[in-house]
Amino acid sequence: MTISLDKPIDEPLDDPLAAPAGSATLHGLSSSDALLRVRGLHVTFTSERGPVHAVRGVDFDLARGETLAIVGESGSGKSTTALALTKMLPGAGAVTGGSVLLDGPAPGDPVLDLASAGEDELRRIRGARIGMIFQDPMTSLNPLLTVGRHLDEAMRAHGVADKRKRAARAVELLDLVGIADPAKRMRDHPHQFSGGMRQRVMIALALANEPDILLADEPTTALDPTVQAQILTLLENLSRELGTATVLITHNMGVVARSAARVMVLYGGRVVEHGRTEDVLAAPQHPYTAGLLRAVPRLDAPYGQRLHGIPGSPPDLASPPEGCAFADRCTLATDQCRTEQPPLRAVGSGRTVACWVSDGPLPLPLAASGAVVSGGASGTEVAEALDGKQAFAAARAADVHEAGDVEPVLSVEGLGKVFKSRRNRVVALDDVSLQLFPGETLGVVGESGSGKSTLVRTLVGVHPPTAGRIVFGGRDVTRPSRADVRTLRRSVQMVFQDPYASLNPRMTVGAIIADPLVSQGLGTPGEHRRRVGELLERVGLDPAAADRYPRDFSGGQRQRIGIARALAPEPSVLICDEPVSALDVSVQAQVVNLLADLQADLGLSMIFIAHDLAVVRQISHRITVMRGGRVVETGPAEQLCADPQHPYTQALLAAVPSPVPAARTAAAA
Amino acid sequence: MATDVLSAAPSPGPVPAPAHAPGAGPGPAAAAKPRRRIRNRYLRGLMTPRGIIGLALVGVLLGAGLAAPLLTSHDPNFQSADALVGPGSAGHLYGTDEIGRDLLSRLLYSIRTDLMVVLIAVPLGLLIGGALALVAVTHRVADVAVQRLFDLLLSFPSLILGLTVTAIAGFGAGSIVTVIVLIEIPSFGRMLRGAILVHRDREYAVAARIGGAGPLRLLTRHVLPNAADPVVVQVAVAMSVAVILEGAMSFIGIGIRPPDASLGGMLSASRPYLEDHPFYALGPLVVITALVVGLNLIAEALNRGARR
Repeated sequence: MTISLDKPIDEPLDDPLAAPAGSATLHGLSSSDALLRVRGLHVTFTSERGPVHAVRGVDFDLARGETLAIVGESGSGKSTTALALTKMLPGAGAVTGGSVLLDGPAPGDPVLDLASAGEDELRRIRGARIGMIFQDPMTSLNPLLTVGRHLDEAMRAHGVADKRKRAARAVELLDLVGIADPAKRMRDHPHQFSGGMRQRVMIALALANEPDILLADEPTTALDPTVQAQILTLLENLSRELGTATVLITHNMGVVARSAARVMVLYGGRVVEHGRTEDVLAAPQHPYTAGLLRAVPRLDAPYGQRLHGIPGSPPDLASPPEGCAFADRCTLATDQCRTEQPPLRAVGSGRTVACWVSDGPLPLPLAASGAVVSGGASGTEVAEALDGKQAFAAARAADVHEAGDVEPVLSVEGLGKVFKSRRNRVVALDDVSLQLFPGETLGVVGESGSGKSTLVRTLVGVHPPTAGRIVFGGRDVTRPSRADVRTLRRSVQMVFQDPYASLNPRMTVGAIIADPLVSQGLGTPGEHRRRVGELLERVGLDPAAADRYPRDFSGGQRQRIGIARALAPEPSVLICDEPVSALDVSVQAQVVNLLADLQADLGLSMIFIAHDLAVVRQISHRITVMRGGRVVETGPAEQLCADPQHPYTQALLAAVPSPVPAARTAAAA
Repeated sequence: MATDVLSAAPSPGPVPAPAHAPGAGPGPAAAAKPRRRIRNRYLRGLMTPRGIIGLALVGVLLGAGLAAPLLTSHDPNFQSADALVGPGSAGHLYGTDEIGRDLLSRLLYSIRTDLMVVLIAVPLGLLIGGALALVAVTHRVADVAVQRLFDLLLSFPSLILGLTVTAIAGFGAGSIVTVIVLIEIPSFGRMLRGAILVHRDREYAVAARIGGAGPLRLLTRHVLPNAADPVVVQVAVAMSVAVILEGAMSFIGIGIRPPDASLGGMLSASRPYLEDHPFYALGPLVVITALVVGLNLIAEALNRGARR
């Protein structure tokens, strides 16, 4: 709860109400038409390690009816900023500085500073003038109340007294967010709605009292791509029809490009770049923005091109860096960057950047031309590209096997899996046939409920199939004998989705990696130690990590540990179940590159499961698309993405939001 | 073969010291790295103000009970001529009871019953309950049988169970221990069974199975260390429950039989003298309260340590 923070250079002077001199050019809007003005917002969390400065001086304006995207990776302070606007911070957090000025409902009404408002005042604002949508539609509705009741309470809390009026309005709202047969569905409970439908209900709830501002915190992150597209379209339409201003918090550059007119990039609790979406995404001026954009896998990028991660990890905000927060990971950093906080300076109309070095747009990889990053790219990146990795694309394309060409390592014929309980019967897999050839990567894509996770678990023998055959190395292992299980455990290993849940928190990293070796009685303790050191280096970690515990590592590092464990018994087949979907973009790129390198260097056969087609395309030789427990289409990766045959594949491809701003010009203009 | 690959390797032989042993000598150097903080999270939890106060309270009282013959020269059952004298008089540091027995020595000796309850009955309950939980998680039929057994034990209110056991087995420490063991079996057993079932389906356990771990290794190396948290905390809670139960049984006269000293018995005997000799009742009350508070502080400290 300290306000010990140095006043940032860019923070406006004493009186927050007086528009700072540069404000008009700074924010591209004169303050008079701004509905919400945030100045020098600071949020501090108390923790055992001392105060954590999660947000360190954020300024922005929001005009009526406009959509502002706040982007950043985990720990950037984007969600904290949104929560701080209405002081909905968790118990340990507090707004420790700055102001949040909300214009009165009608012109001439007094301006209210939410940062210093009392709880009573805030309660009148929340849900009435500022609506909120959260990330997880599964947990943000009360399972005991019907959807109609939710809407009813929201309106009653803000003084709509007439019960019939509330009911009529509730039906109207459900209709507005695109729920069919709204009068009937009012009586349904949340569990009777799918994830996308629940998010629609959440939006209806947030709009119930016709708020001026809608805060949407990662509204589509928990949803499947095709549903995400629908929800984004809905938000765009509503914002246009109702004139609601939207603050869209997201980590997805594609979502920004699609939905927001302006974008603000946060890093380490500070704004690093702010401007019109087209300008920022097409010609980023801050090295972090550029890095983030380079890391995003794109469908229009040349096939087989390596992704560009940002090395390093975000700063520890318990002891915020003296200079630019990004300096440690920045390839352009100078001494000044490390010692002095760069101020936000205006660079053109409505555009600000906080960087000492950059003066002008930084290069991005050109879509569709094979050009490798030049200029601003780091020396190592260039060296890497020259180092023969470029041949990767060609090799990858050439590697694609024709069926019948070689013996598959692993093949699955007519696989079926039915989960039965007393009351219902769920068909998770239905007549699935796949072949995995030596040294190839087979991508498996599908949305939730497509059966891809069941497929994996059946393949590694966690639960037996109810129909079909699994053949590994020429042997039928559908009902494996003890000897078969031993072979399978050596040869087929798996990388899990959640880097937090898949490592035993009570074991050291060394013990975790050596665990398969110990379990299978391979080698001596001395050999295990050597192998652990080797594997840690192989996945890009310090061998000294062996003595530490998983909690000491970040998500990306943990995923590397999980990969090292899977590689320990020298498997020939590696199954990766959504290995990067829990990671930040910049880290995701590093892990995808690591897996691609390992696959090529060790000659692994790999099954790579994900819901993001753009990622799968970059790493796979062939792709299988699944839906509802069935395979709908299989083909060489590039061909399948360029020329999809099945309508579902086409829908999936269309739903991948591209970070190219041109894609949204029509929608937002 | 559940040996820890990394720590159980003090063979300095020809194996080159791993690259990460920071310039130290060969062999066991890696294991003997300087420790800046306490490695064990339970110990770390206990080494907080809360934990230290709890440990001190419980340690001092139980230690005093254990050292009773050294701390007092009075026989707890010897009846002197001075009945109901106040603290400090006639060589009795804490006075005497209605038939002239030294209160301090009776207090100290009665702690010994609690000592036994805490150190024998609770661990025994943990052992049997834990074993039954392990049986339960092996097979569905065994699970049903064990769970019904737990239900059966839980269906008796504790004091009724106490009366029954005393009626069958007679007065004495044996009956108290039996009752507490019977009560603790289902509480430990259910808790451990639930924790094992939860952790057995966690992703890291699935990962271990795919790594080739058999059922025994899975249980001992992966599931139990993670499932132990609630049980470790429960041990301290169970101990405080046991202290209260022992007091209650002796208070209503079905525990330790007079003339042997017990906290509950003393409390019961002190009732007629509450007004004139409040110190009489105060002694056992303070001891019971301090033990229960101390044990609960330990439980809370362990709980906080485990959550790290």
